[in-house]
Amino acid sequence: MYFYLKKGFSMIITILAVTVITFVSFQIIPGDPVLSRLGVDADQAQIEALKEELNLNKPLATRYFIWLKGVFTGNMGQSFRYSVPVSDLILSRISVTFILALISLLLIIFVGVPLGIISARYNNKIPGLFISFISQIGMAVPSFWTGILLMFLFGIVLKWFSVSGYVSWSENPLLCIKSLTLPAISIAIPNIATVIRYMKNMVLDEMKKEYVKTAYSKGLSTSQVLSRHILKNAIIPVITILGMITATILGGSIIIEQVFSLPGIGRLLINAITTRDLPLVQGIIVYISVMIVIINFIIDIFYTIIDPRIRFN
Amino acid sequence: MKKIRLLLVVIMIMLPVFIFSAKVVVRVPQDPDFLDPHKAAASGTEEMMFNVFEGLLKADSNGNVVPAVAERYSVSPDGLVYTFKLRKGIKFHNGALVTVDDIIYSLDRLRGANNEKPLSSTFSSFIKDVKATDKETVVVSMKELNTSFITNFTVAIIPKNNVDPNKNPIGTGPFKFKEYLPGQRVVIQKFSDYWKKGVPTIDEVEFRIITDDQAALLALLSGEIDMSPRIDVLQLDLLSDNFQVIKSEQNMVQLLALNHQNKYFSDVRVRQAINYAVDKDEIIDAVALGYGTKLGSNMSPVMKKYYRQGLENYYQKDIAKAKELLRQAGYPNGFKTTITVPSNYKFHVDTAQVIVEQLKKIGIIAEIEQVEWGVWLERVYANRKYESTIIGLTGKLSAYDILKRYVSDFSRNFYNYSNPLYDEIIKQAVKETDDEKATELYKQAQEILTQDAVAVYIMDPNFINAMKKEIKGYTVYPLYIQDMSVIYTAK
Repeated sequence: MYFYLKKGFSMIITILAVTVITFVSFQIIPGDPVLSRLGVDADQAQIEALKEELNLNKPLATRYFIWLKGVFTGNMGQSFRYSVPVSDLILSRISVTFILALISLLLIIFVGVPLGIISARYNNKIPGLFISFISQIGMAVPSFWTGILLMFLFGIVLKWFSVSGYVSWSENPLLCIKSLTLPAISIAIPNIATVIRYMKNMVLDEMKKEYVKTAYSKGLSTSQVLSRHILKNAIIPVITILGMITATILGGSIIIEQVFSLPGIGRLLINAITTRDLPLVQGIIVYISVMIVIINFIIDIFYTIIDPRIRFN
Repeated sequence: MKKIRLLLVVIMIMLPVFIFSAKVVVRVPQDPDFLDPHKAAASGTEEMMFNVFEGLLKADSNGNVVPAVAERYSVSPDGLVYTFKLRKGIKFHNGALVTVDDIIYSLDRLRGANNEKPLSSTFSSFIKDVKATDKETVVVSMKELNTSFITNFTVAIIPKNNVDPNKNPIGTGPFKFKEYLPGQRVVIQKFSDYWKKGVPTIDEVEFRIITDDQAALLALLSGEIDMSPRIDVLQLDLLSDNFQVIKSEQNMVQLLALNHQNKYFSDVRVRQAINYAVDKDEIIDAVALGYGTKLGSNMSPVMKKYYRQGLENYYQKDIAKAKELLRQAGYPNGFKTTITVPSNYKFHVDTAQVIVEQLKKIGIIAEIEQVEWGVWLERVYANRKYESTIIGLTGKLSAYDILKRYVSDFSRNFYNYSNPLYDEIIKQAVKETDDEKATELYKQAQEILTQDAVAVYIMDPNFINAMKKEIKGYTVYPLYIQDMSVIYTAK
């Protein structure tokens, strides 16, 4: 319990530090939220009116404490760019990112892990070499390019999936999944490749250990040794990697969301940064930090389930 | 009986087809800044909301202003009093009749009457008073004469009792606002009580926000969007026969602006040398694949009446002359400089690359600095901290609004241009009630800009709009808008 309290406390301090840094860096970097919203043809009167509406005439520290006070009372403030509450914007985007993360995570686990094991099992044989070759390509090709290729093939040539126009879960769950399939595959491919390599290396490492010899001497087959003994030990570092991947996807896959025009967290963040929408950036940063805390927590629990020897330290 | 049933089935099957075809999806690259028309300033917002809001007057496709909420209007001989007659029976989207109170409310909100903060400094500085003389007449009196003010009356008339015009925008236009999902879409719906009968024919328009050009192209090819205005010219080759492409001049001035506060560019000879070194035809061919109209001053030929012809070739490419001018200015070996370009406008970045090569020939080594749009607006446009930049200035309905950008005390005179003669000509022109004389003055102003080599006026990049073949009736305006009311669909 003490362990979690300590961990939680240090996380809150980290999040606070991150928000202070964001706040200050936004004052240093050039660019103005009012001008970037209104553009070239803005009238001076409109600029003044918007500055006042956004409280930009108040000093920096005051604005930070107003914001901080708001956060503790559950109010993340108003977006500079969209004039709506930040929490509404984030909430409306979370579902996209969550479903996208879920589909790609399932793909990563159910494709990456077995392929990794197979490639270790048949290391230096045709299947192993083939998988290594494919995963090498998967890691080398940038995901946005995969995305564009997939869009071209399945969206334009074959017309199986849509290339733009996200359908929300509440409108039509089936179409929602359909509109997220291609982006999920694009996100999954490089990650599958990473997982394959990790899985393979971990299995190969474990294979060299003494307990494997013991298991073989008991008369078990290679498959039995793999599934009963090696996998449990090999999977733990892979779970760490999966956790990191999950955190990244939940934080918004900026490029993929941009390529597929998905209204997810990543695109919201990049828009918020380019339009210098400080409250929105802060809100998303808090969201991402909280996500990472939660995922780390879940991973810790997973560890203890898989290997009961692992305890809170 | 069987036949009737068959017919019914056929109709049932056709029905969704008809409903579907009555909706048009248009790509837009960004979110609206404000849905409240008086707070909105971005041309990307106007592009969509032109269909929702109308002013007392409204622009037509020839760039003239025609009556809209007002049925007719008159201007007093001294040009100081405008009288508008309200159109009979005209309704807002919420079903309420438009009254003179709504008009007064709208104009007062803009000019900041009753000690409120104004939303338009043009309105607050020129309008003296707005009042209704009866239930259908509004009289606007001016503080001073401004013969080009009339185009300002295209600003939206909105209902007085609307509590939140930004969340729930209500106007009198051919389409009413349906929904806006930030980062996703703006949807507008046919307004069946629109005062002009017979339009619009389509039921719904979705402006889909797609930031990425590649993604927009794919969405167009896959049929998910129907129209993609301002498509990149390089993408045209990829379009199949199912699409039609409309190309036209668009009343935009693309220029290489030089900061006159810079030690090199304060010298007219240096600016002229650059004008002689830059080959506009080469830029038009390389960057716009020929789809651009060469310019010589800050006016597009779309503004037929005001366009001063013959300035396009004032500076013919002449490397020897350019070098000689640089030598006279004291830079026989050229100098180093920076061109600051907004990175989100690929067109301007490409142009900069061509210009860099062209300037090398006279010894000027230019470096391209790409900045974010928000940074460009703050640093270059508002604070004028730059050496040179490339940008496209969107056209206006009046020559005055286009040319006033160079008046020395104009708040966005980011060239830092200052010429008392120019200021005087513009001042005279806007006070001139004789239209012919005013036009002559505006032409003279363009000549001065060219002679002073204020900037390098490059081209009016053609407006290129790709759309499905089924879309008919598309009309190009000399403004940054899409008029969806005149569009209809047919196989």
